[in-house]
Amino acid sequence: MIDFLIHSPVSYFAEKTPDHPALSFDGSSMSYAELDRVSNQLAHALIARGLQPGDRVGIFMHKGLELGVAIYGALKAGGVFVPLDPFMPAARLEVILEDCDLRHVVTSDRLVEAVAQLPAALWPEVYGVDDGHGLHATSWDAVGLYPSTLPEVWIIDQDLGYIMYTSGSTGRPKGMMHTHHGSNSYARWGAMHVGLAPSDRVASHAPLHFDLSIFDFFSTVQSGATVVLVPEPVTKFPASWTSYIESEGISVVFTVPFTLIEMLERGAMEKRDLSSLRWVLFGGEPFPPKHLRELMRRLPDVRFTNVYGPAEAPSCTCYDVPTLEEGSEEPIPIGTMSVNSEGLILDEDDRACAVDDEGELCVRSSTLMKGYWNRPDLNEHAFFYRDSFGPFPDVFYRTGDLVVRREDGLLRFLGRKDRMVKTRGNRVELDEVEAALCSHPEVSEAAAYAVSDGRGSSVILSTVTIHDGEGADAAAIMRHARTRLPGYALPKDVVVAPELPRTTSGKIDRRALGESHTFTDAT
Amino acid sequence: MSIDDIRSYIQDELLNDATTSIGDDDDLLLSETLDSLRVMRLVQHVEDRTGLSVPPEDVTIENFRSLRHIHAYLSSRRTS
Repeated sequence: MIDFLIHSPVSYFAEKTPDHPALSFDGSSMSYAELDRVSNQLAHALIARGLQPGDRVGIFMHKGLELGVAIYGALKAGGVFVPLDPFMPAARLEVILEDCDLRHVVTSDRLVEAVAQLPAALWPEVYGVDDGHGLHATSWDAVGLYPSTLPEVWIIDQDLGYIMYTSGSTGRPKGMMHTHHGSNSYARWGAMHVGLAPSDRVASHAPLHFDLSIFDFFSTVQSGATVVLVPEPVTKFPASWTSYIESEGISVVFTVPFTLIEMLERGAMEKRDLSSLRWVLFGGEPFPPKHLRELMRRLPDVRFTNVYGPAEAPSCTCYDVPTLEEGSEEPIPIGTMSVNSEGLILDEDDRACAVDDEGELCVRSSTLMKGYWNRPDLNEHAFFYRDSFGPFPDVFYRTGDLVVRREDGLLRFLGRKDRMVKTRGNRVELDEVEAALCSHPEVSEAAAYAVSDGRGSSVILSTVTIHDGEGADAAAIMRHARTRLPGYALPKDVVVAPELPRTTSGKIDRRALGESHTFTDAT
Repeated sequence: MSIDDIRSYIQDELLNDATTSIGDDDDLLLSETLDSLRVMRLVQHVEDRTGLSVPPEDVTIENFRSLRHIHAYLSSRRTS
């Protein structure tokens, strides 16, 4: 079902298939009728507490049925939802709350204390909790007293639907603004590509603050299918994850290669009945062919698609993976532009590159973000404009990704122009890691660098120097970093060195550090 | 391995931070004390120390949720 607004399918399927499960979580489920009713009530509660169209609504929750209610409640109220990683340190939560002026946060009894510990000037209204620890709280019981009809709110599909924060190079996270129109296009692309039907049970494996979640929720609900939310602990245990696929009858998964490699190696796949699975989409990082070939061999009836796209322009290319040749280590292409996207490969002077020439991929797409929230400095350089009709140029996002198009028409990803790295599919700006380390009062200089983990992903390591005569040790610096950075961005190791190696131009030689840093993981 | 052995391995080796206190029944998963890499290192360590082999299908939430769960699992393996 397609409509202009991203939340409209909930009401449509609440009429058409009211008892069909919209959400499922660890054995319990919520029907379309119930999701529609409770999300309408939450929308009324938000409006009653002062929410105006376009206001931001934080979603600070673990996976659970209420997470789905929060997304749709925020949207139905005319709000813009902002996923907040439930595991993020307080300092980062504070930065985001302040940056996008979050005055409403849907959360849980388990997490609300972290909000209450923020400076009182930032205190939002909280929803979904019994005790606000001093904040004004609306419980789920109280939400249930609001009208169950859809509130009348005037927003159009050009308005924002969500803002997603990602690592920023200055140490300050940046929020990508996405409209209903863009999210709908992404959702529609996903539903079409995979041919989603109401009988599908689509995993929500990625955290909400990861853009794969937009596919998980909106492609699925647009199709009248069921979102199966995966509890966070399950994602850490490959053998529990394969059990969960079996017990929940999951049919479609969109995740990062790391999850799939772990599943292959430690998921006890031979002990599970995974016959419900029909399509696996992966993205975020290159998938080493030897692992993918083995996974495809183990799951012969499943289709595999490599989906590429920065969170600024999700799913702008895709590649349905054919049977991989034995012994070939040729990287998996990122494929061709998706039906809603156009790509240009530009050289340093913004001229189009020929076939086989490396350049930066610039993307025009209906999934493209509207820009970074509150960051004119970033927006000024993020786009390339091509003259088109009168005052409306075609807008391309400069991805910062280096790609090449080969004779076969397929795009290959070659690497980054800048210092952004991926670890387990998460984007991390190494500058942000260094900024966090340097904010320790005794640290003088810090270098962060990524080294291969040999499994298609990378781990972040670091070396620091400390001010003369200071006695900070690696453990204390790590503890400090933990208060600033999300878990995935934390260096796996910090070495305190007397000095940092330099290149001939005097820059810190991070490559040398990466090559000499001995760190062994049990992987 | 005793509960204290497991606790000190997690504190000293996995978290590199002996100041983090971990109770016997603390949920190691919800607090993100254990991520998937650390679980793997823990399993490796347990195998090295005890000589037990921990099959992949046993590395589950049920067996690794807390120090007490890990200890109970290892005890059951020794007596089985």
